[in-house]
Amino acid sequence: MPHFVAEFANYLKLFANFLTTPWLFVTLAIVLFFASLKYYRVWTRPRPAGAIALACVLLFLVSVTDHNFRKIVTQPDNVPIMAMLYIVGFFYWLSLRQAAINDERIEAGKGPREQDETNDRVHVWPDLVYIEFIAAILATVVLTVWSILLKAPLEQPASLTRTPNPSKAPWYFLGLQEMLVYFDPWLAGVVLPTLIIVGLVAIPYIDRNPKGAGYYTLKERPFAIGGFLFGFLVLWVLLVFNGTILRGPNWNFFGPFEEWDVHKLVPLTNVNLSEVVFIQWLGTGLPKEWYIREMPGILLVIGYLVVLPPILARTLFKSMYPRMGFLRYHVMIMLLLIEFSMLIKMYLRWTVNLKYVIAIPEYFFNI
Amino acid sequence: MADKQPEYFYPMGKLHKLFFLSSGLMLLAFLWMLWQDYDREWKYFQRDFNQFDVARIEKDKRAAQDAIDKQKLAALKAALAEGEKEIVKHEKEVREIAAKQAALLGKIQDHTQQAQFAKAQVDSALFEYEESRHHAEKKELDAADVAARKATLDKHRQHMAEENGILEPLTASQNALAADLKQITARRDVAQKGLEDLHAQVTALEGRHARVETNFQNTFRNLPFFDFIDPTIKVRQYVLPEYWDDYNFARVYKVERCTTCHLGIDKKGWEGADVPKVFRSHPRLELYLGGTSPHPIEKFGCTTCHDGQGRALTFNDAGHTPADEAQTKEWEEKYHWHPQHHWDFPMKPKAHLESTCYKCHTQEEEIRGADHWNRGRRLFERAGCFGCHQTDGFQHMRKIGPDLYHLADKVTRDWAYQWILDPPALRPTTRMPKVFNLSNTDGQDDKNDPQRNAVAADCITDYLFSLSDPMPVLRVPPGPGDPEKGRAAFDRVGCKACHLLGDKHDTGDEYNNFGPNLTGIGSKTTHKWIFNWLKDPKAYFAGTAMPNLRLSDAEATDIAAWLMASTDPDAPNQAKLPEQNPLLDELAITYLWARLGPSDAERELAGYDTQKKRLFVGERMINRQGCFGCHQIKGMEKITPIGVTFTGGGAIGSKDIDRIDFAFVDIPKTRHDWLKRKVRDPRVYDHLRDRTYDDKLRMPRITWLVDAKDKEGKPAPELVEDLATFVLGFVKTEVPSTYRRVPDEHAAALEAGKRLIKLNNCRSCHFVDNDQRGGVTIQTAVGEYLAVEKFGQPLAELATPERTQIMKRASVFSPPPLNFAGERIQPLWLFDFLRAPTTVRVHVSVRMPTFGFTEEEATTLTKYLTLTSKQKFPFDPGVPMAYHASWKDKDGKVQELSGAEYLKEAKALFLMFECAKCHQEPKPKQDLADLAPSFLLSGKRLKPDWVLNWIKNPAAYIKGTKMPQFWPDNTVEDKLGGDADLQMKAVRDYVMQIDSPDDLK
Repeated sequence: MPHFVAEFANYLKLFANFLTTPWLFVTLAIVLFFASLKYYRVWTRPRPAGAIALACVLLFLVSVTDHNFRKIVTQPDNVPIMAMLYIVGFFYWLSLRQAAINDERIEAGKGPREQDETNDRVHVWPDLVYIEFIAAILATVVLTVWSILLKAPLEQPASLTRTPNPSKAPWYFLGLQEMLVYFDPWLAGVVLPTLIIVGLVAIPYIDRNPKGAGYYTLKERPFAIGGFLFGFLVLWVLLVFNGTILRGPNWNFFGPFEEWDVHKLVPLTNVNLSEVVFIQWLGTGLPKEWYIREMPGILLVIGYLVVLPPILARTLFKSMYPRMGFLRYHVMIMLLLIEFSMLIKMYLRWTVNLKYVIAIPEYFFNI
Repeated sequence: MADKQPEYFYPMGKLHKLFFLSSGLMLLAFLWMLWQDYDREWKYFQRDFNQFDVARIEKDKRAAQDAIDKQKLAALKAALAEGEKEIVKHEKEVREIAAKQAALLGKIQDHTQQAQFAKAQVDSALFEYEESRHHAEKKELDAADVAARKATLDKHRQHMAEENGILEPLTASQNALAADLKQITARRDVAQKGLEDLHAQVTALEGRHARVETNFQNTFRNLPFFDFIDPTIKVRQYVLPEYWDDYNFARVYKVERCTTCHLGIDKKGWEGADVPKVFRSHPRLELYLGGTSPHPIEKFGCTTCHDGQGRALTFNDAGHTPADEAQTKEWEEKYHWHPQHHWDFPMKPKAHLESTCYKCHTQEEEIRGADHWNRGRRLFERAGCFGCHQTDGFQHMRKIGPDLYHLADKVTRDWAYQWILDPPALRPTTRMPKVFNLSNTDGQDDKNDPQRNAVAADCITDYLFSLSDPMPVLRVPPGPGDPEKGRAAFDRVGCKACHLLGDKHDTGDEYNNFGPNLTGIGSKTTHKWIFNWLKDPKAYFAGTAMPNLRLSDAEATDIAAWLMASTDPDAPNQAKLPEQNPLLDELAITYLWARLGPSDAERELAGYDTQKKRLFVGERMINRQGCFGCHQIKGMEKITPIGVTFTGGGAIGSKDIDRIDFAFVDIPKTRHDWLKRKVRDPRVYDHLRDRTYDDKLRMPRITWLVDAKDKEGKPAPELVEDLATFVLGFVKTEVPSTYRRVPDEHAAALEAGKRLIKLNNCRSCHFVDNDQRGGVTIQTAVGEYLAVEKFGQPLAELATPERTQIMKRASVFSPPPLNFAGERIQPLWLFDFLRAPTTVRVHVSVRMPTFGFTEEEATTLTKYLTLTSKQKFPFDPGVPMAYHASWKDKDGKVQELSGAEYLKEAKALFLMFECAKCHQEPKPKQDLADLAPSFLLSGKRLKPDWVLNWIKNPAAYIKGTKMPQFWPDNTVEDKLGGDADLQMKAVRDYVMQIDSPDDLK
């Protein structure tokens, strides 16, 4: 390789590493996400979509020439995650493409495409079970071939005194593990997962809007689809990606092209909200009593969870509130606020090194 | 709408095709999976092995066939034909017998079966009957039930007896028929047996051939899927009965599958270069794996010693470790080798294999056959590693450096400063390691470091001198001494057994560098100190290995004068640094800061004068460098040494690789590579690190070891390799008690003795338990002065015949061999002698020094010498001496002599053979080499049995001894019936009771 090409490649890698700085990377992802929703009719057309797909494949192919990136993505347990990224991308495109076509048709008064296929009922056998059976066979083939090609990794005998570094959860739990960085275990490990499940279960009860049932659309349901996809893509898939590619030894952030050096040290300068308020702003030092010390945080949390919903009901969700009613609105807004609190906390950590909003070590209670 | 076809949403034709296609794919995937499961790396090894084996068997078979005696074969074949003829002759009888046998056979089989069934019925009925009696006893059954069961039992018993009754005569007639037949076929049978015996080897080889050849049967047995029944290619394993792999949460018995590929490893006959490496026999089957070896494969397997993963079945998983870079390359190409990260203990590379011996052999001074480990251990002790690194088993070792309590009496300050700063510059072979100006303090990191080193050494010197107490007794020598006389004494009394003098680079042999090389000592110390030291070494340094040679004042002062004549031009004259040095303040403040915090430190330092600063820094630097690991320093005797502990939880041999700091040094990530690098350059892991002077690594460089050269002057890296082998042996792994070698009382006594012999350098002067190196050093030293005395030339310059002559003479003037000491010398005398040596051979100038052995040590040595001579300890009573002899004279009459008469006759013999001619005090003009020990000692010193053996055949004990063998050639006709044995015994009896010089005349 000529020298200047290597040099250039090096700069590109450094740039890529810079782009994956957490706050920047997540911001970019959010911007990209909303842009993709806004311009879904443009980019999902075959040509631009094909170009994007090609670019993604090329990006991957170029990236694997890098030693560190290759080392990460060729780990047998990381291969499905890489596959997942592309599969998610494909289905995201597929659904938005279908939505774009349908929305155009609906605007033209033709109704969604699904209506053209059949409006009648179909047979369980063969229309459902037969294709399910074929799908099951193909899935078996894929799993068999996969297990032949990528042998299940067997590592050294487990030891209490020596855990792997980095110790990573199974890929589907990496999002949860990422939350553990920002919240106490009781929140990140117990409350938040429970709320995720409860929230998913609650969807049919919260959302009784029949629009979009049985056909693809975005225009008719921008808030519902956008809200769900934000949670899934940004707060779950992206965190899985971060956990796989960017989290290295000692759970430090590494760029995708950065050597995973066990000895890398990152300054630990996180502070609690109380320290910001009493030490940095007021300069009075921390009050002795915890309830005075944590008052700003407690007020902030109460404000966020108790005061904000009624305000939002009168402003942002003015049209939605009467439709939903008191109970359904509050369940939805709680789930939504908690979902966003996750993001807020992450940003606060990355930008102002905020450790806890409320920190009461006396009672092992931290938020 | 009766004919309405069902209408489906999806086109069925397409779905059927898709279904067909996906099913086909699934079949392929399934077959692929089966193949993957079947196609294993180790199977290729076994196939190769079989192929190789087939070729060998065929060769052996041809050889075996060729080896068959053709004549014998022809004779046997002829005999066979004869035999067959014989049978043909009696054809009719044979046929009759066969018919009868056939008829009988049916009946016998029938009744045998009946008898077996009857027996089963009896057993069952017996159980029922006994059970019923038990119930009857508990009143649960009445007597009638019991009786009914008894009746059933009796019925079956009777039936069984009937059947056996029928069977017996049938069997008898069958046997009779067989005997009849045998008479007819006897000749043929014998010939047939002979033929079989003749072909036994070929038959055995054919059997082996059938198991390994490629034929239909074997191929079928190894086919995929069918190979679950009874394949010939299969995993071979040993499950060790008591030894486990520790998986942190569970201990699992070791399963050793190494023999799956290493198929010849535990068998003889697979040696040789033509055998592929993987199939070769273990190179030391007599010691390992063999059924009669101390480490049989069924008990020890492979990974017990080699480490690695015994369960693994691929080259990489097993954890093979290449010996060197060439092998690494070879393996990478051949097996895609890569370091095994997932097994904590990959195999030890060949160079360090012996390190694992220590797991079980913890109580042995030397492990038989583990030469590298043994040398490693010697180096470890010599280097005194245990001084800084606490090590189980070495806690009671003396610190290897001298005590520094009276330092100022011994050396000059200038010399001490120079010595502390750079010991090898003054004495290249010294065991004192180099502490300053190593790779992290040589000025490359920080240009001020050499200056700091100088300041530190200077302050240490000051501190040590400030602690030095004057010796309680320091005698003034009687005179300046005569160096020439001193030289003669130095050469003759035995100093050269442990010391070198003349060339400061000389490393000598294994023994004469035991004590320091004395070259240049004149620049180090004073005449007075040497005089006092020679007179009583332990007065200056209680733990010294230097013995007391019982020198007279004149001898001591002469030797001191001679030693003082050896000066070192490199030794400094004026080395003290300028009083004011900013770096002194810097070092002082560094250490004060650590203790007091910044502002108090400044205040404290302001109150120090220069001397106080120097003493403070000196004391801190000694603590930092851990000088007390090797030296006794006043007030620092109890300080914990500075190095990491070698044994126990942090044992280096089992330390996790990822907890070892490789820093920025590019070496393979293994324990042994790290360790060797560390020894070679103890500060290397500071490379590129930004550390303050006080934070830097501080292990010293053991220059004599690291820079060792072999006899040709080439670097000798194997010393570090062997040291590493020994140190890597420290592991925290627990070993089952049945595997640990615990020496019995006898072995423990030998170990203790060996240890004392090593610590006191006995082998420099004595040949002990067949170690060929023993005693050579002193003989050479004696030879050196004899050469100058006789030929006026140094020994090395003499021509071979003269040299041989001198060395022969030297052996007479050297200390005795001790390999039969226990057989020769009475334990009590030996014990006394070891405690307080006395002169045995007045003509020999090399003298046994007084080591100051404790009673326990002397007992240990006596026991050792007795046991190694295959004698009983404390003593072997033997046959009591009786002054009595009886013999038959020419006429067959029994003659007898006893008591005083017997001794008279014995004395006559004694005088006749002129025994006292050699065994006496030296006379003028007599060649000293002709002298022998005085008889006055014999009775207390020698064992009577040995004396007799010695008289019988002196050369059996000492080759080339001057003691003549008189009997049987010179047997006296008219004494004791001319019986050689009686005469030898008589002389022995006489010698053993000599107690005054009068007895010699």
